[in-house]
Amino acid sequence: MTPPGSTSTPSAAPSSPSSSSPVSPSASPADDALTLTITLTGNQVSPNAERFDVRRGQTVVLNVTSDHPDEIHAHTAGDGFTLAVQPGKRATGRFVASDAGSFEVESHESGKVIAILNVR
Amino acid sequence: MTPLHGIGSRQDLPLPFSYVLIGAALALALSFVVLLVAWRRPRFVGISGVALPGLSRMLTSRPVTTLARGMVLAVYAWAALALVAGQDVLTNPVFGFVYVWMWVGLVPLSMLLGPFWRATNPLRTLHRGLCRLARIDPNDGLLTLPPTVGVWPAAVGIGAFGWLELVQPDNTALDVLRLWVVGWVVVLIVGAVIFGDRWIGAADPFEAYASCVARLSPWRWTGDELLRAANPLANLTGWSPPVGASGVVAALLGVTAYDSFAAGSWWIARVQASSLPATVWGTAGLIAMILIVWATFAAAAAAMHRDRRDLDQPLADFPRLLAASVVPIVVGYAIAHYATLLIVEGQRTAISWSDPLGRGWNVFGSAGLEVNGAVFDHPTAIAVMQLTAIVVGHLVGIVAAHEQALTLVRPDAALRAQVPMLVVMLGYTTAGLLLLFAP
Repeated sequence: MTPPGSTSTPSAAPSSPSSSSPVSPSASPADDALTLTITLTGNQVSPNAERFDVRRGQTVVLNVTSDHPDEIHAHTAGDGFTLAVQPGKRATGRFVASDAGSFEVESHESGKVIAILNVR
Repeated sequence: MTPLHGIGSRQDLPLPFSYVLIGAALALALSFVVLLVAWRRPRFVGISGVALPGLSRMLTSRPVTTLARGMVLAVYAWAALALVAGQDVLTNPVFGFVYVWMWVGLVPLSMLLGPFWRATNPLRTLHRGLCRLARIDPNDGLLTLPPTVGVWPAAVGIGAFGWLELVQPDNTALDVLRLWVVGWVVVLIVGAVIFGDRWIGAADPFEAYASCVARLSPWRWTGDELLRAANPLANLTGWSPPVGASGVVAALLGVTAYDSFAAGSWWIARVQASSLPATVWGTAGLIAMILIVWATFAAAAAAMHRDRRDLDQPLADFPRLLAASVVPIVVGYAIAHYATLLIVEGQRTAISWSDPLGRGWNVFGSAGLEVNGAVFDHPTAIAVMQLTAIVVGHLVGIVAAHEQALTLVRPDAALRAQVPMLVVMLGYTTAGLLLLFAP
């Protein structure tokens, strides 16, 4: 396991898989989507390594605000999902949790774990 | 665990809590059954098994040992090429080679092939080659290693590898890994020049780990010359572990337990909210976990020593001899924690193995293959496998401890004297299940 707070080489995830196109905040999320409201402040993250249960095939929506430029990495069974964040501007992205397993969502700058998605 | 941050990013789901309860109840019930129903006299004393003189002669013959050592050395040389001249990316196979093939792969390898690791250890081959060039006997050193040293250096080495794997920042950066590999080779080879090749057995964390697991294989060498096929349980209980073996098993169990513990959201959240660097927490947590295992084990062994059969037997003999019975628990933990990692990341390493320098080579024809991650699509099967590994490890461990207690303890106190060790082992098993539940 990568230790908490480590800054290991980030995933080789391409930054624009097909499912990563940011959507505008006004777009209505899928009915049963899991929405994570994420705040990045300095090197603190909120939620802070919180566990979430996700159903296979469920959409995960990330709503992110940050006070610094950062990148959110959501690990998946494939190449992963990346969302760039600019300070003061809310970024929204979504991906489908299509494979079972336990996956981390983390901030690239701080290397901190935001959420652990347990996909069943 | 995923040392390969970013490529080993898919992890096992937490073990369902019902499985934890079932596993703990099973372990408890089995413990009582073994204590009350199992044999009352040592059963595996003396050498057992079927002698295989023909196979022994073949395996110890010059061409076979030379070929096996040469092949293993070639595998390491290939990994060294990736380490020295490869690219600093996660598709460099050296990361998977060290963290998955070596550290995790040595468990199934040693269970299947017995002391294969020791027989083909590339450091021994390297040292032997150097000695041949210098025309000296590999056994001879400049100094004699005191017998009290035992395998304590290897116990420290296992803790150090755990630190590299779980605490070291950027442990999948090439520079970092290079530094560690150079340290490992220098300490082992220079030590072997000073103390003779006995140092490699004393200090190589991989060989020490593999040698423990080899005792769970059906292969038993007597006098390094005659191979016997034996009941693994007799193989294990017939083992007289080296001085410091309790440190080796405590470090192994502690590292694996910390790996699980540190992946849990409770620990991550606290470390991330703290103003202290994560390395400080990681170091303290890892050391604490190893010390907890070692202290509880040593205390249980000391409790058994009070009822010793031979009044002259020193206290230190007990944790050393009983360390053998912790080996199945170590192996059960390792299988439960790392099986999916070995399957999935092991494949990824095999694929990148064809292209160590990242130049588009396909030397072994594996470069075009895709990782099959289908094992993760069966979370229930994974959970059952984890539960089985932990409970079977516990069962074999307590049976081995029972057998050893019968030889070490006064007959009238044989049952009572086992209770503290049984409780401690039950604690390891329950903790192992809870740690799998927590992440």
